[in-house]
Amino acid sequence: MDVPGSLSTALRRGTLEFCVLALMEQDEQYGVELVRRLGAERTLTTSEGTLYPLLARLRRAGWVETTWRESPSGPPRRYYALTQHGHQALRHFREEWTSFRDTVDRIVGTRAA
Amino acid sequence: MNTYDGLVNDYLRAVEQALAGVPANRRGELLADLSEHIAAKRAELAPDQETEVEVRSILELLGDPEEVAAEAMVDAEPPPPPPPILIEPKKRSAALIWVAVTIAAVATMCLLGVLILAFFSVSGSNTSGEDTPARPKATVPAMSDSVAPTLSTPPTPTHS
Repeated sequence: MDVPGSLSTALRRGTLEFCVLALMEQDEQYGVELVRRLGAERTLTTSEGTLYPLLARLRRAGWVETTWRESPSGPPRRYYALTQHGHQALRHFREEWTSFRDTVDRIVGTRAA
Repeated sequence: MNTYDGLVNDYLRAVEQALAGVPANRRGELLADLSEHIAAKRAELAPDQETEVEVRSILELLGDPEEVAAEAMVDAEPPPPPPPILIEPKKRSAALIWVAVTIAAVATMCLLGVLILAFFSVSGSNTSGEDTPARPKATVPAMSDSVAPTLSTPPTPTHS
């Protein structure tokens, strides 16, 4: 109410990083492509650039690792993949999120019919 | 590569300035990530045919430099909470001093305890050895010193 967009910012905190992890759960992802996909989700993120500090945090946490690969055209590409810790973190988030969402839905009255 | 490099450099410089409060290694990391992203996207465009609009569009999608930097600041904030758990060098030496003081205090107490025990066991062995502790010790030598001569002198006249 006081700061426009503060609610969506608050909701993003703590959830966006797990959306990022989920996108690379099955296969490693080309960083630029990953950022493009997430950047297009206006509910989740404000801009592509803000995802890079988040990816850096995931690297530091040891949840993702990156590999450089040659590109058929242009500069080498950086690929992001989940580590064992990243898989564990995502599993843990799924459990927490489900009960969190159910509780909020029940109390706020947004439970799907 | 061409005239639009200036646009890119201006953008990166704006991010760098907004990152003033962020540690140098993180600042460098983010700037490297952003310039890689820009280079990769520019490489997707038709070589040597990119337009100013295309380059500007790449930068616009990245977002406001202040906003991007602010996200890195959020990341830089978490480190402060952990330090209380870690023992700082200053506190560490203080803690070591306290450990030393405690050890010294405990050692002194133990030593005192041993001395007290030793004192009681010595006086205890005296009491158990003799029925009347104070008297015999004090009287026996006193008797042998003062009484014995006086006792020994009288018999001498009787003998002679």
